[in-house]
Amino acid sequence: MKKILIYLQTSVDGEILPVGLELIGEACRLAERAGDTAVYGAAVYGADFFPCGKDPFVSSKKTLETLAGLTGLKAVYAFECKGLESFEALPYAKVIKLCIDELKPDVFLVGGTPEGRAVAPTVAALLNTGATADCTAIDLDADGALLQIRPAFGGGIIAEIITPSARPQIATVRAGVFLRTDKTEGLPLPSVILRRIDCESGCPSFSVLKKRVTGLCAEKFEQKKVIVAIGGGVKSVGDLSVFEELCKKIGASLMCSRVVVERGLLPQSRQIGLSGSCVSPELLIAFGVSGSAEFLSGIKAAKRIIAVNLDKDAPIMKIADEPVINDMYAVAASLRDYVAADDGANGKVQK
Amino acid sequence: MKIIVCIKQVPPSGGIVVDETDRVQIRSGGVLNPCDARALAVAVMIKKRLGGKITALSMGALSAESTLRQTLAIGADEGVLLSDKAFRGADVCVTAYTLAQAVTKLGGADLILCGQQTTDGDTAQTPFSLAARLNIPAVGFVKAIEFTGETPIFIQELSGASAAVEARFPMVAAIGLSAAAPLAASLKERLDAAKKPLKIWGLSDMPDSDGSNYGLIASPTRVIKISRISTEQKNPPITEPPADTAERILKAVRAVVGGR
Repeated sequence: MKKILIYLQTSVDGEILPVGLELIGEACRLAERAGDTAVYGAAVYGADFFPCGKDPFVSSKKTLETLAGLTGLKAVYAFECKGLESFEALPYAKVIKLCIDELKPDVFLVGGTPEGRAVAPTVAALLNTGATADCTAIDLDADGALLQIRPAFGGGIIAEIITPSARPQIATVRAGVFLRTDKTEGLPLPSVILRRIDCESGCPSFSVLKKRVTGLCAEKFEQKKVIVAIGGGVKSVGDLSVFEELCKKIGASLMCSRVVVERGLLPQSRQIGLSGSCVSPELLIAFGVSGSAEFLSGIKAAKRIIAVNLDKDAPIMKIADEPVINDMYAVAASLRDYVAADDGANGKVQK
Repeated sequence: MKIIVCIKQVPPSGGIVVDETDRVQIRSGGVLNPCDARALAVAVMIKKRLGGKITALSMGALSAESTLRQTLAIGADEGVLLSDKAFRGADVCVTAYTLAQAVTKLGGADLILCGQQTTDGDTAQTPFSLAARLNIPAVGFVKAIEFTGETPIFIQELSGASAAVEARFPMVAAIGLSAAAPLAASLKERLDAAKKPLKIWGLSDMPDSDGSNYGLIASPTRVIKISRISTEQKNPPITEPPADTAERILKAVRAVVGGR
């Protein structure tokens, strides 16, 4: 029997993050194809779930119900950790290592959130195994070998990676790469295995940094319907205003490729791509984005792509639904005129 | 305050060449990885407040010496280049092991700063793997640095939130692109950099000098196949006046968000 373990990251209110559900969906598909494979989950609960003064060893009913409802899993481990503060890679990884030591999975899949991207290599280092970052596809063969596929070497190339002998085979996958399974009828529900870890007294190596959450991100880019992306065609801060205005008018988010962040024009939180965010808008308008594989991996789920670029050979022009050869600034100026004219005719832009 | 900054020479954008026989990148010159330039800027900022010494640590081909020399001009006090045929082809796990060996040989550090990711490997994993090897805490995806008195505070990106993490040494911090502006060197600084110490260490200099623990052979992962990304044209390019493109875009927007 082959085993796939999935790290289930939870939000502060105890919900499983969507990327975990997507991984369950994909793992179940892999298990069905490969045969003789079971899928497990593991969630780690630190102090975030246990407000000050509360005994962390009293499981929240809601938490357990959430885990028990994850169809497709054979069993799910819930690690309640006394003395574990909010997220920190090494202590969380040490808890997960306990799970891996017990279950001995062939494969360990982790959602590519900032936390997951920290946990996966940390667990890998503790177990002296490999972790492939941000796979865009995975496959499992009948022997339990995991094929890990991702853009590599700067993004011009797709690499197929295996972990020949070390176990588990670890991979992270970004949100939005796989689909969650909606089919739940007739599938068995997992058993919940509760494990209580005292990180305060039992394990001196669980170091914890002092941390406080300072702010919630207001904008959820992943869920935006319209995204305007700007790329290397944008050279200076002065060039930004026309696109910022446009976004404001049409209710879109302004995002960018990596080079724009490197130039210090927009913060990394607005970067699309393998090293930024994966987005899934209804409409993506790309101005002056060349479309490195790194960038293109982040827009796979976009429903419609209009690309404006003077270079007809830019990679984004090959994959766009509407590749338009044009000067991005001329188009932007025209857009500003249109939007301003709309304003004049109606007094207000219609939403 | 002992600071080690891990830096990597990466090919200039679009200049990556891969050996098709063993699917390992061919390294021949390049530039300082952009995130590492930020990590170095953070190191200089922290040294200004807390004092101390900055060691720039790199692993790569001998050509990486020029990039290390550049970090000496920007603010590092000494450079160490890990360069040996035995180190070639290391994946994240083994790269971190090699760096950890060098950190041990350097006598450890209070703060190890890394760029969050490189433009060639782009895994964002090495800083965490290094911290795990050294069994010290790591803070990743740092997007800003603040100070409370003399204590650095790393502002970290998490899922849907930010966190302020108080530095507690020893630790690793992985610095993102937005955390600091990269520094440039003056002509004088560049000339002075030529006089700063730069060591090159090979396998025999490592505390663990067993070659089977390094490079491609020790790496748990293997690249078994590489393929160029297909460049088939999905839709024919459109040539039209800018105003028509503007109209096309507005129509598409209206189709999604409503309106006329």
